[in-house]
Amino acid sequence: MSDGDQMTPSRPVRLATRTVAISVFLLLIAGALVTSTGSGLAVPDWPLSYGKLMPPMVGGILYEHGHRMIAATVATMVGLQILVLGFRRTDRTTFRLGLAAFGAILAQAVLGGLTVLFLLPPAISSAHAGLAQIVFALTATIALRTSLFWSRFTDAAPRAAVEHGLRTRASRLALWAAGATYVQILLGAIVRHTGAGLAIPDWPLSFGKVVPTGAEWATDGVLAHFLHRTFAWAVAALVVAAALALRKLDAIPGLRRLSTLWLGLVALQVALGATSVWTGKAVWATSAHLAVGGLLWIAGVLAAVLLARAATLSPAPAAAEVGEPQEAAA
Amino acid sequence: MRTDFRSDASKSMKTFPASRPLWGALVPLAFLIAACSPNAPEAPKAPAGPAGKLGTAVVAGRVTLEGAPPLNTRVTMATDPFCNGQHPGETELPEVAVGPDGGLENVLLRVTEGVSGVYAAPAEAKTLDQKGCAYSPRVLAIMTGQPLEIVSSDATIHNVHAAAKENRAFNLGMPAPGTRYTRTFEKPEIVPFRCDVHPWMRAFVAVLPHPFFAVTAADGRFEIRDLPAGTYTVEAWHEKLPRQTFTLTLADGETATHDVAFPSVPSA
Ligand code: HEM
Repeated sequence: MSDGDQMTPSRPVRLATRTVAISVFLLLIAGALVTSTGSGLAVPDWPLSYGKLMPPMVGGILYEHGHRMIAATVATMVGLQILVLGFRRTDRTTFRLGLAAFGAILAQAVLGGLTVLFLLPPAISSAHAGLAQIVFALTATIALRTSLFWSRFTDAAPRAAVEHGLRTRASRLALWAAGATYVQILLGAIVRHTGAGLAIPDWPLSFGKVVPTGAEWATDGVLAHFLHRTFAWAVAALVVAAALALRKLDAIPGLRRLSTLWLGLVALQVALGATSVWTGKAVWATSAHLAVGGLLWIAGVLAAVLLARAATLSPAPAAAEVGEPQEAAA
Repeated sequence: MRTDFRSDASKSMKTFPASRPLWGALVPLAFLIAACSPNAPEAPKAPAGPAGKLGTAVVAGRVTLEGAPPLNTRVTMATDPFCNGQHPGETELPEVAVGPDGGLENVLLRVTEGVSGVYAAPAEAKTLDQKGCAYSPRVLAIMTGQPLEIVSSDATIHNVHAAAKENRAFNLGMPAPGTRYTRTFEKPEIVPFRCDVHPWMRAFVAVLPHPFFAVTAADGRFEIRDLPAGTYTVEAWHEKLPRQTFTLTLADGETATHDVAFPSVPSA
């Protein structure tokens, strides 16, 4: 039995992995609320909270301690997921992804603790934000690989009549789009954790111009903020290109729907970035911007995973392998 | 070693059950990290150099705001029933606190030029209290090495987050009335204090290398005493308004009067 050719996972496994991925997404939103409400240091100690397991949930403690409680629950769920994956004999790759997700969420807990104890240093807070999205990607991929859709995809993809060149192009674009989205997430984290969210007060222009000038560059946070808002266009272009490339493969099940979702998410994300600026960083806007940023990243990851799967199920024709060795390698 | 919060504030520290392997691995690591956190007090260092002199000159005056007072931030304290009980409905923050006759409270006046020598810090502490979900006083000045006592009179939980840049920043838990910490700062700077549980709470602790400073009272009046004869530049600092400076020359025993007027700004 080759890796990944497992039988369709049972209903409890499917339910468990999906619940874990959704819980990680909810944890991401809880984390977003901590920063957006400025509650990151409302509890000064860690791992306990004011020396207790349960401090009074007033003011910023509601967000900060609430985030810790949700995180402890989700970390336990990610740990239990390993047992489910091992016990129910899912394939080796999925099991390893489960181990990786658990390792990443433990590292995430330590980073979270460090942010509290070292008073939110931007580098650690940004790493915490970045690793959160890796945990999300790992658990979403596990949920995908244990879904009914994955089994249907495994059956249908080899039979789908798609041109090899189109598939490799889509695959490459999906990887670029997902990679760029992740870089953009890290840039966003730097903007957020260095307090540069309103360093440029207008949008789409910057200080009324296309590019800031002179002394504006010397203002704290302008460079990071400008890089984030400008790189957004590169992300948007790559996502649109990748999503359109996916549409050309609509003989493979699911890809058309994913493409539509991906296009919708990128438009929504740019709109939420703009709204974060226009509303002077309204809590709902910045939190939604972080959450939709996560979904946009997951759309890219899932597209890349599905295309890689399609490639292993229906490898390149022999002629193409001879003619285009570098493409086959990519 | 433990973080300060636990060592000062909680005598009966509870520990997390380390039975599950996850916590068994995580908890010791967490406490190891906690031991390295920046919340431990810094050991005061004795300043070196020739001793500074005290004199008999005084500069006194009044700080006012010219024009209409700006709009201060308005908040509701509904997220904490205790604070909400103290300040029901909407509360205006005392960012720009102007008295009925234009006197401006909470302005720091400090000599920025003209002082030489090293001044020893007084041993007696100054107190920063948390009362009615606000810091009291909002602006406080101390000398480098002088103890700052941080207390809470409130029957709710606070954290005291000193966002120092030149000195070591810290974040302390004040879980109940009667909690008390003493800290010193070794380098001059104005340290913003905030409570992240109640984000409207702000204080500013000015740390100065000499004793020539004052903070204006509710009527805007100030007095800087014990200056030796000389020429000084005095800065008037306000948390929201642009700084003002003036220069004056004082003879021994002289009391000079100098008023300061801040121009208003549209909103605080
Ligand atoms: C389309 C691609 C974009 C992605 C994937 C993205 C992603 C993100 C993420 C994930 C964060 C939060 C980081 C964290 O703390 O974890 C963030 C922050 C931010 N982004 Fe974006 N962003 C995009 C476009 C934009 C645009 C077009 C703007 C418009 C100016 C913008 C403005 C901001 C601002 C102001 C913040 C900081 C919010 C705060 O301080 O709370 N973003 N971005």
